[in-house]
Amino acid sequence: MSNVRGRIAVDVQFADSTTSAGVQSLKTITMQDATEYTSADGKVAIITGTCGTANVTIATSPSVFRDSSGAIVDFDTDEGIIRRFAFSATGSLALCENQAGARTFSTGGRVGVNDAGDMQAGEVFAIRTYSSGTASFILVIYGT
Amino acid sequence: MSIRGRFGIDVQFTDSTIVSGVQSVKTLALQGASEYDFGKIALVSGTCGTAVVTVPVSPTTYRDSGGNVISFASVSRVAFSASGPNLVACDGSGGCGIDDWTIYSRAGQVAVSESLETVAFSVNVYGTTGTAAYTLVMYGS
Repeated sequence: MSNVRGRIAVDVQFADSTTSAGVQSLKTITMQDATEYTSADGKVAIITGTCGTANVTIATSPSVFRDSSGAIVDFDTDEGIIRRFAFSATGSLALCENQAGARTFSTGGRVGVNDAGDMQAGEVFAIRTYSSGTASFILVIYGT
Repeated sequence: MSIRGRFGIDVQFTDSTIVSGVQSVKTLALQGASEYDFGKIALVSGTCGTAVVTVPVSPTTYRDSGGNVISFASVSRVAFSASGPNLVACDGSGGCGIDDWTIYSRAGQVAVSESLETVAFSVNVYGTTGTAAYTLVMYGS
């Protein structure tokens, strides 16, 4: 059985400054989170592909991805088994959504991260471009 | 006013198997760091229950470094975090019909999405059960 360890880290930082009459005012905005995953029964899959305006369906039980032992990764148990996903697309603006209502957009390789919500076993992700064109995408799914 | 900032995302997993003394390792990574040197940024925090809390965007309740209230004509990227064990949703609606983003958070785990919101849009926060504190960062123009 494979052993999965990893992390999903998000680091948002902005500095907003104004200089008036020789006085600089500075506001910093930060939002950070680094969640480590060390569960012995963790599962992770990465799926790449291309899409147009028609949905590309990404199955999760089983997925098409093989783990380090060569076994197909299968998110096959109860509600909440898929915890989070990360999505990146290049080309046209693309949407990744699941049947639990999570909807993440990406373009320009800018990565989106989302909690998978209360996704049920056997449910799928759907990926498509928003209005036109095609996109290449990468989807990382983490669950237990 | 000058804005400089970044959204950095770093996803890394190592998947290893040992069979008969042989270790097989797969490394999965997805990373992105986007720098921004113009635009508007606002941070809004609050609490919510299961009822929808509409987050004002034009104007917001947030003041920039010059003391002026931030008002968005469009929002192009959002980051959202909610505390507690229960799922909390944040969505943008009205700007692009049925295709708006919905990002979920719980336990302080940050969710990020591009946003298409440009016309008469609203941003909403609501929980599935109980109450939660939330923080929303909106970047746009």
